[in-house]
Amino acid sequence: MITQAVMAALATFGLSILFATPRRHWLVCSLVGGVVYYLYLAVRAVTGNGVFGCFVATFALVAIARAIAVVHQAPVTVFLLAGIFPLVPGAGIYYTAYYLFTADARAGAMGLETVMLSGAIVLGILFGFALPMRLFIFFRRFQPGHNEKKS
Amino acid sequence: MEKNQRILRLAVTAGEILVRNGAEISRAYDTVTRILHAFGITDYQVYVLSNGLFASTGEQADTVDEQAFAVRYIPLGPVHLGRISAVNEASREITAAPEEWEIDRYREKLRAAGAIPFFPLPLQAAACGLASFASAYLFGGGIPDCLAAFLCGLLLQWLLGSVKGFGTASRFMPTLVGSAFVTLLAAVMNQLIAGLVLDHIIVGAIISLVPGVVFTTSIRDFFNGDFISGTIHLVDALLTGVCIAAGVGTTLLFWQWLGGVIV
Repeated sequence: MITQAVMAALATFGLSILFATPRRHWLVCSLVGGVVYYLYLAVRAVTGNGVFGCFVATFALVAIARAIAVVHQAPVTVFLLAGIFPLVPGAGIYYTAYYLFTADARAGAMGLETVMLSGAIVLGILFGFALPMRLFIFFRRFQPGHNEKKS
Repeated sequence: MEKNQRILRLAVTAGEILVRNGAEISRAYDTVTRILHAFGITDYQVYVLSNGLFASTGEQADTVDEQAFAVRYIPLGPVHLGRISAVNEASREITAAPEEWEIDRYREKLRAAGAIPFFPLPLQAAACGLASFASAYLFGGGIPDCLAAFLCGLLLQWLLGSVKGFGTASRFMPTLVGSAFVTLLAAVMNQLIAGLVLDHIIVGAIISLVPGVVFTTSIRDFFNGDFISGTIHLVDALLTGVCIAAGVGTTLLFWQWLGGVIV
């Protein structure tokens, strides 16, 4: 599981560069991608439910991204988009469409799983952004140079 | 030019750059209205879509002086997080010091933010290769599959970045051609080298084409009540997915017809 999390962190890192993430965010983005994927694997292992794992991981990602956005004073989008990639069912989309294309009956099952995973991600995002902003204002104290401003 | 027109132009420029580079509609709307507010304009109307922006001030005004209007058409384009961050910072600076005599400097700052380049092609190609390598592993590939995926991802990004004006014919051309190219490459490698699993290589290699970003943005738009914008992004994501499947599927069928193996 650790290897997979490391791979997820590497994938997040690569994708961050493709989306032109500023250099100072690279390390954090990669770490977040790895941690969140590990969470997905852990929940899936414990509950046996990959869809629920996806939901929990996405929810955690949004919460973490919002906190880091406050600390780094950058838009949430920066930390959210690269980190979501390991969770988005890219393989599911590919396989579903490919099975449809070649008239393979497995398209149904794969399509359903893809839709369920997408739904889990949607719910994770919804719930994550529904958390009140006040929770994240707490993280302002970690902003670089914050303590010098207090006087 | 009238003061309000200059201020509106500044605000709309910020909003336009944000949307053009993949920000959520609510962020663009917030930025435009915050800049307007900072300069003391409260009588405004702003409507932002995924591919357009309309704004006016002075609806209730008695004189023409206070009326200003701006329209922008914003073509869908690739996501650039660096530009979104830079515009965010610039708008923070603008709202902190909303001086009329600074407007030209702010416009220049925004223009520069919108012109931040993507990373150099070699770095992008390596990053794409790395992402493909890691994704192939995550979707069940062994190390040989991952290495093949790395090569495919590298060459894919090199191709997409080298051909100038690739996306101008159609927004989906790069995706179609890219997925076909990658599939062909993977099929060739699979044919020549034993011990590879074609599916794993392809899934890893197409990860940079998969519309996870646009899909996520569409969800956020829906959540914020921007249904048209959300739908635009959602359809964009679905069509991209279909293009990937079409590119891969056609190439594999073609490869089979040629007599190659696809296992």
